[in-house]
Amino acid sequence: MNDNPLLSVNNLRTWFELRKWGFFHAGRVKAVDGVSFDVEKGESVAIVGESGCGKSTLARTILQLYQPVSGAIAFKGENISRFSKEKLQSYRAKTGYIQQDPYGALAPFMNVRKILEEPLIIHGVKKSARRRRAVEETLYELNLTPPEEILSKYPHMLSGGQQQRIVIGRARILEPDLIVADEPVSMLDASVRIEILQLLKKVQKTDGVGLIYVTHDLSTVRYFSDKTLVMYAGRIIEQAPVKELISNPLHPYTKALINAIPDPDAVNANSLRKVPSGEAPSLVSPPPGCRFHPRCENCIEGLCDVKLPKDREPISGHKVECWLYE
Amino acid sequence: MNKVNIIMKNNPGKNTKVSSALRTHGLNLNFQTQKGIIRAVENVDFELKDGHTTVILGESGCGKSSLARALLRLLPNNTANYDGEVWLGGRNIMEFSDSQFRTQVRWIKISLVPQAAMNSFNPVTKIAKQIAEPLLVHGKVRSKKEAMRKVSEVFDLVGVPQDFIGRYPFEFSGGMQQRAAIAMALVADPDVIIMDEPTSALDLLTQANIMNTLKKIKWETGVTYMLITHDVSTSSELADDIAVMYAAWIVERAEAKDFFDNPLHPYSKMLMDSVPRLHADKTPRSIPGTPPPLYEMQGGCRFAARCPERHNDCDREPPVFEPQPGRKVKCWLYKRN
Amino acid sequence: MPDQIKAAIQEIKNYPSAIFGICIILSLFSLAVYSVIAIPYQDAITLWRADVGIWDRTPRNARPAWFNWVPGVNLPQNISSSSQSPQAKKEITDLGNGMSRIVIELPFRFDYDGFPKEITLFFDAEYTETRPWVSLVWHTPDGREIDIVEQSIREQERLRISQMEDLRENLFGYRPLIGLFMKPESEPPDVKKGEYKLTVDGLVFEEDAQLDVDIVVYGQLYGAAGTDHRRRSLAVALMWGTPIALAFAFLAAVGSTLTTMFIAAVGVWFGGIIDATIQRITEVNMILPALPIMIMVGILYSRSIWVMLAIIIILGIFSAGIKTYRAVFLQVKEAPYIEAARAYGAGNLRILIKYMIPKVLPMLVPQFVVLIPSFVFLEATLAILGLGDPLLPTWGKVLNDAHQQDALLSGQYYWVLLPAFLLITTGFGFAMVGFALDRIFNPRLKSY
Ligand SMILES: Nc1ncnc2c1ncn2[C@@H]1O[C@H](COP(=O)(O)OP(=O)(O)O)[C@@H](O)[C@H]1O
Ligand SMILES: Nc1ncnc2c1ncn2[C@@H]1O[C@H](COP(=O)(O)OP(=O)(O)O)[C@@H](O)[C@H]1O
Ligand SMILES: [Mg+2]
Ligand SMILES: [Mg+2]
Repeated sequence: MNDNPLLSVNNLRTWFELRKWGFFHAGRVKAVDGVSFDVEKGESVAIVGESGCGKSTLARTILQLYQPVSGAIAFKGENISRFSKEKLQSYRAKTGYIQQDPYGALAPFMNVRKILEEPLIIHGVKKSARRRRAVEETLYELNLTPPEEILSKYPHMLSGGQQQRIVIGRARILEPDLIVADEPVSMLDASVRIEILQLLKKVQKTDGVGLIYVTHDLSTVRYFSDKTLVMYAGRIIEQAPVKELISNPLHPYTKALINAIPDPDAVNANSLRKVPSGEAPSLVSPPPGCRFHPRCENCIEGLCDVKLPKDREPISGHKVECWLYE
Repeated sequence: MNKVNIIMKNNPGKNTKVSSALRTHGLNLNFQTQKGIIRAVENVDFELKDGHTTVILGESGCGKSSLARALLRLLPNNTANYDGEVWLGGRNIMEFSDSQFRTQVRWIKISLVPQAAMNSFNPVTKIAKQIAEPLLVHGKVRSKKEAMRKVSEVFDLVGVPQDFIGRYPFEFSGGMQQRAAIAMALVADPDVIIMDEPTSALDLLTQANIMNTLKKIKWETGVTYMLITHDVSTSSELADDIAVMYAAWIVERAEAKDFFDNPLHPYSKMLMDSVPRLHADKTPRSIPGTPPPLYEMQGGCRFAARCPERHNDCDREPPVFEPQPGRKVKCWLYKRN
Repeated sequence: MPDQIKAAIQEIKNYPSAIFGICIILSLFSLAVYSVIAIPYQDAITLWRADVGIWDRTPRNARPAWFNWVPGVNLPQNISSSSQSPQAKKEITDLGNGMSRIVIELPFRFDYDGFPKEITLFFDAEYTETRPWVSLVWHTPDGREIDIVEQSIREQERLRISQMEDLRENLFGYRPLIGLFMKPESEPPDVKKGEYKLTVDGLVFEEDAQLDVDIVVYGQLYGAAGTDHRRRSLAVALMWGTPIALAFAFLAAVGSTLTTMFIAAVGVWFGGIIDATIQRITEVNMILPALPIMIMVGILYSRSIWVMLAIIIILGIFSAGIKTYRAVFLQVKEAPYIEAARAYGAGNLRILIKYMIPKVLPMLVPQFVVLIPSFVFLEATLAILGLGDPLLPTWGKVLNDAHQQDALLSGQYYWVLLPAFLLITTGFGFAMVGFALDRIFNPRLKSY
């Protein structure tokens, strides 16, 4: 039990059936197609990728909101697909979920008290005094004070940042071991993002929970995560500690991604940026071989466009899925 | 498809004396709502230098889109007050009648790439046709054929492949629709193109690609951009001048280099500090507090409540100071003694 | 939710039409409450059934009393006078032998411009064997005395004076109804106004025999709404029609909208076979015509309003509303907060009831308000078609009666207009509130 990682994802595949006229088989969206990684206890893992690459699908599959077509997810060493109903319910209590759109994530007709109490009620906290205490404690930890004032408010009366704090509060009110945050700040104002991410980091550190931080924004990852996974077209193509990844990206896609992100500097305006052209491939019929090869300038003909590269670890702790490192 | 070699053609940032393509003086735009009057644009003075890109930088809700609307006179029904001066080519276009404005200014002289442009196309008409529309309406071309030729030219310019001419909006990806929206803004050869958050809904690589395209267009055509964005990092890709907007005010104006190296207004400083940097190791700091709602403005500096450097003067509205040549700051810290 | 309602109330103040509508609804509601309290349910049914003896003393086909408000109109009201009332005089003289003479004087004023509809005496005599003997004399204001009749009477004898045609010869050849009240020699007959009196000179032949009498001079006007061909006061039906209409429509609206909504939510949430089944049932039901079905049930099974209500609800559940709600629920189902609820372990029923339905409920409020009058009209339609509830007085049944009695042809337009006015006012009031609510709750229609 003690050397089991908190979460272990192994060769996970989540596909969606496409149906013509709601009936005939018309292909599969291979949103997550063979993904493996571990999250240690108390570790903060970032999953970075462009939109549509399958990040949310991966997050939802981990949270058992989607069923994978194959592969396994082990939570503290136990395969969650074999969980009984009760076990699944307790798994739900041990995982928290933070979504992208804070306003949408809160039921508009519930006030903050109701919103925060719901998970407690569902998981059998019968005494209202106990629930009340838990709710108020949560609000204090989220710097949402005074609680009496916030408790009776409805989501639309709160700012985006406050809404997302409530969502974070709801995700941790059951004291989970794992929190999955799917683009938690991408819909917030730039000036609030940092604040929310810092809060998330604080919660993660003080509660010692594992955090999966899903984002398309590499620049925030640098400050808020330990390990970073880069996802492209349904696969994880590179994983490394975040500083290592940024200073020494191996995969051409990661390189392009890092290259494409400017820091504010007036000289940026004087030159063009080197960016691979084209767009991410269709997940229904991804290109054969390496999924990045049509956009890759290092593409090795006859290899990259034929065979899927294997997962390699050219530097210890730095894995990459690319023929260049064979 | 993209040429990666660096073109430094006609880069106007280096010239010292440039005429202004557009200048505003005391521009106001207020909306009537049930909560009261919303002052979305208040007493705004700024200028777009010819051939330069001016970035309007600000948090969402500070009035950036409203400023664009005010310049294009695209006013919502609940407009309560709309006045000030907008000088374009030696004429105050605020004095134009609505029909004059429509036939002589909008889309001809000033065009717009709207926010969420990807949803702004009519889904049942071919995009190329929609792009040609302003040309035909304004009689800029004599025939449909000529209009289509012009469309195919701008498609080249913005990097939409020619075979997209016969396609409907749903056949365009998000990035392609954004390019098409830019093409539409370019098609009538306007002097000024206002772009309202043109890339913020797009993916990183697409965003970078479009930024490259915008740069190339600027270098090749010498068009004047007004780029509205909340994204400081991306803005630096195109900016020659920066105007920082906060709660309906322009609080700082500077050339991009000066601004990025040394922002003056306390808000600008905090804004720069809040930007997460990928390539430098500098932990970003958030700006505490929230901007004031635009319908219950009190006197005094609007940033005072969040400002670490506030002092007694801040109870009064600061005028615009010019501590260094070419730098304008609406903050009491720069009061000349 | 309470927050939203509070906001809605705040906002509704900005809609004068809605305020007007609310006033109408409140008035209707007060009328309903008043009716139910003033005339208990059982009484209302008995009154409307017109059991023997209940409506003896009201005129037939009288107009509403407020006709006299028109300047220059002064038609006779209903007048009754009883020997037991204080104005009446009653003298009893013992004649010995167990015999007594009872003289009753019944005075009343008659100050109207028209003649009454009928005159009837209601006797109440108590005896064991021998009937009392009475002689009646009519005293006019100008001092004339007209003998009416001398006869013996039974216990509950009724003397319809207006039908005693043989009085004509004493009355200048006119029918008693006119002759008794006219100025002598006037041509055409003109009413002699003033104090009239009927004396009843009675003989009773037994020790504890009693004699009492009431006179009713039936007016041309009666009550707030007039009377119908069965002498029933229309006010009763119009008043009681209010609670019935409101209750019926409210229950029908609640029954059909809430269940419809719930079923739509169930279909959307579980999807698959359940959804498909609900959809198919709805499609079949949508092409079944509701009104003919109700007419069939009314003819073949029962016309009870409650049976009709049940049928309306059953037919209403799988109505086109399911499709509307389904479209909305399909969106709600995708809302992130529902996904969040699943992630923290909310079960199906909880998600349906606590997460999906409350989201759509505000949309239902205006629809619900607008639906109410349509059910009021539906009930009226059924009643007009002769399928009204056999017992309860409703607006529709009043209209049905009016139609059958050719009320409009005989100038009794109030008989049609009053219930029609109530129906239209109801529709109007609810519609105005409903439209305002729609704008408040579904702000897509609202420009800033
Ligand atoms: N429920 C679904 N049914 C069908 N396709 C889906 C579904 N959810 C996501 N997809 C598709 O899967 C791909 C990955 O989506 P997603 O996981 O949301 O990506 P990301 O979060 O990285 O933007 C997209 O092409 C999307 O259209
Ligand atoms: N038509 C309108 N009526 C009322 N308020 C409006 C209207 N348009 C914008 N606003 C308000 O004006 C302020 C500025 O809006 P906007 O110019 O869109 O900001 P930005 O583009 O910087 O995000 C916001 O508070 C917004 O809610
Ligand atoms: Mg996503
Ligand atoms: Mg905007």
